[in-house]
Amino acid sequence: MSESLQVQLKKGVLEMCVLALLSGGDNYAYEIASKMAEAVGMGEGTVYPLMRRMQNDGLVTTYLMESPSGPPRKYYKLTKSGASALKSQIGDWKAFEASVRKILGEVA
Amino acid sequence: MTRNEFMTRLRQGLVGLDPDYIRDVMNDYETHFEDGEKSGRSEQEIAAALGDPGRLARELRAEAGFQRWENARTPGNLVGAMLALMGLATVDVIFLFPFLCAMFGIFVGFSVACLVLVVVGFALLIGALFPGLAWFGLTGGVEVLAIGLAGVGLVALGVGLGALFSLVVNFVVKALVQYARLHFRLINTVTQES
Repeated sequence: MSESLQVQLKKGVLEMCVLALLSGGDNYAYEIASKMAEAVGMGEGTVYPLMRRMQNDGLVTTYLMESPSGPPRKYYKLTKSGASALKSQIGDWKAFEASVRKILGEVA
Repeated sequence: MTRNEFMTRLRQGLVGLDPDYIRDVMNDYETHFEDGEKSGRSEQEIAAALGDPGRLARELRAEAGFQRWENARTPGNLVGAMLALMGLATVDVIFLFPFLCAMFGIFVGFSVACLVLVVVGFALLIGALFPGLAWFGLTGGVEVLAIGLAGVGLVALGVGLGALFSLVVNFVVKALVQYARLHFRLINTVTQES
């Protein structure tokens, strides 16, 4: 059952993780996908629909930048509203994490 | 699966969507393969990590439907979003399917009911305004006034209920879209891990 708990936990935080990743600097989809797959086991293919939706929601924007090898590359960049969404989600996450830890502390 | 097989199956799954949208999506995944190969992975490895292209296409298709509705909340786009939900529900979020069918039934039924109220109301109103046309033999002025007011009342009722109902439907579909999005990604993660 631990797998199901893990999946449940990941469920809500994918968007927050992508936002956090981009707050460290603009990035392109392949890098975002590899990092998300490595960090939280997200299916690499699913990153693209997620990025598309976040773009539609105004959390990220894209721009093209020349790449040393091959055609120009599409970079994702955090918008102002993306940055404030990240801030409020981190706040929610911390509050949630603290209250779970408090309960777990009483058990352990 | 090879890169070509993956791209072909993805394209097949996207048939019928906006050509610009399809091109963007195909570009995204082509670039993903190129980047993956540059970092030394095989086509098969990359395709396996991307997941089932048919399922990805269903998610992209649903996402396109949701986004159209979010950008312009028209009745047509609402039906599109509901159909997109149905598409996901039939294969990937199966337990939503009966619920969606029931909701779709209620949606159609209620829309028809509101429409009938408005139409009947208008018919009564026209009957009252132009007594010459009256097919139900109106005579007295009081009768005409009563029928006319009843017509106005029915029209108002139909419009009011319709507006209220569309608020409820908007809310429910919004919640379902949110749920389907989370759940879809959830399922994908499970498939990846197992």
